[in-house]
Amino acid sequence: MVGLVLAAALLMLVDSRLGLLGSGRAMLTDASAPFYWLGSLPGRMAGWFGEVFASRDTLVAENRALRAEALVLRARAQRLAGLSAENLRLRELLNSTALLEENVLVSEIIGISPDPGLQLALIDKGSSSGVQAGQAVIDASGLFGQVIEAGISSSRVLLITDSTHAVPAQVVRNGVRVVVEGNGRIDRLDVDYVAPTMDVRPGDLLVSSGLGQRFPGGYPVGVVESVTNDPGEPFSVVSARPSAQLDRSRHILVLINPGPASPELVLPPAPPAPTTDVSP
Amino acid sequence: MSRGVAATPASLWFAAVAALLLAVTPLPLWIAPARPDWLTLLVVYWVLRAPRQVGMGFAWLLGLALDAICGGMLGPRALAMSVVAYAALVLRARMLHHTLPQQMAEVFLLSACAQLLLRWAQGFTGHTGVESGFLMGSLTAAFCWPVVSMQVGSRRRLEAWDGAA
Repeated sequence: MVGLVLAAALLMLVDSRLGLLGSGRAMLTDASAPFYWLGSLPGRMAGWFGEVFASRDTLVAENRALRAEALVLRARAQRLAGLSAENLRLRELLNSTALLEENVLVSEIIGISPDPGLQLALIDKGSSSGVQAGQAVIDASGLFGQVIEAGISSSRVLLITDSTHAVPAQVVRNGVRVVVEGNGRIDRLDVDYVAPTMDVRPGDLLVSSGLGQRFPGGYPVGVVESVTNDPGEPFSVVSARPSAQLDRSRHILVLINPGPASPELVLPPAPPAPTTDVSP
Repeated sequence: MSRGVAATPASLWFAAVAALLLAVTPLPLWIAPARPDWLTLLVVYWVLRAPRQVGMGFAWLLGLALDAICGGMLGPRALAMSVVAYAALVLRARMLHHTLPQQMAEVFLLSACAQLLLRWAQGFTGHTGVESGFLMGSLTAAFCWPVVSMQVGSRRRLEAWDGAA
């Protein structure tokens, strides 16, 4: 009895404080993937039956909706190319560094940790696809979390709502910098260290600020829901709702090592040289 | 000696894998906090049924397996499950004589101890997000006990086996 309790305590100490199980933990990540896969089999079978036996009308309607959405997104992307070219030129005028271009890897969530005290997800891509611990993860609507362990073919992602997670962020409206912390509830984020005089209002969009070097800047983190000022407290109590659909997303994007944006991809071709410069 | 009371390695493995799969099966968000504490149910079941073969070592390994699958710190469930197995071994002779509601209360208490130990250990790594409903799983485990206990076998049979062995 005492031996087993001591062994468990020692294991906790070695694992959490000393961090001596580095590669062993990555192996455990891979080893636990089949359990999530098997455990979610009934649910996925139901989804598969739904797809196979969907009526033709449903599929046609879905196809039409997706086409319309693709058209709208393509139209937006056209404007984006022009804007990013303009942005790059302006940044060059200001002598500031070029924005980094991120490569993304589409990945699927295999399972969510069943422990209510942890907000962890297991995804189906690992170091064989280029995933490394520390990479940021987004979904279609916002910042999702970060990779904390990368196995060979699966990785663990810590959600931004985990009670040990924090993101440096800023308010889009005025650039006020804040720290957004998870508190263990999947639909709630805490905004910390907001002085009562700071201009943060309900409805403000918080985006990652890029400070801290972990998350790239500009991704939506959450929307402020309530700001409560207590005159007896040094800071306001501010809570936000995550932008990412943490409890619903099935597909997510891992931001693989960003490389420098190549100007020829973004900038239009150089204008022809003026005729006066041409030597006779 | 009754053969049906002994645990075969195959049945132990099957039950352990089934409990781990049930513990990670995705549930809708509103019902997930009430996921029964399958591991405690399994450990109490095996300790009542085959205490000579299944004890704290088995419970420790089972807890460690779920720790590895859940992905947090390794060890809290191993600790909690070995304590549950110890308490169940101590309580076994009395539990066999108790009525079903009394056994359900005991299962609830054992599971609640495990959950408390688990949260307490997780607190060391800075996890503070303990919801007030964290004992819901213990409660549903207690209500699952009548079904599980049907498989344990009658007290007379267990005691006869204990006496013979």
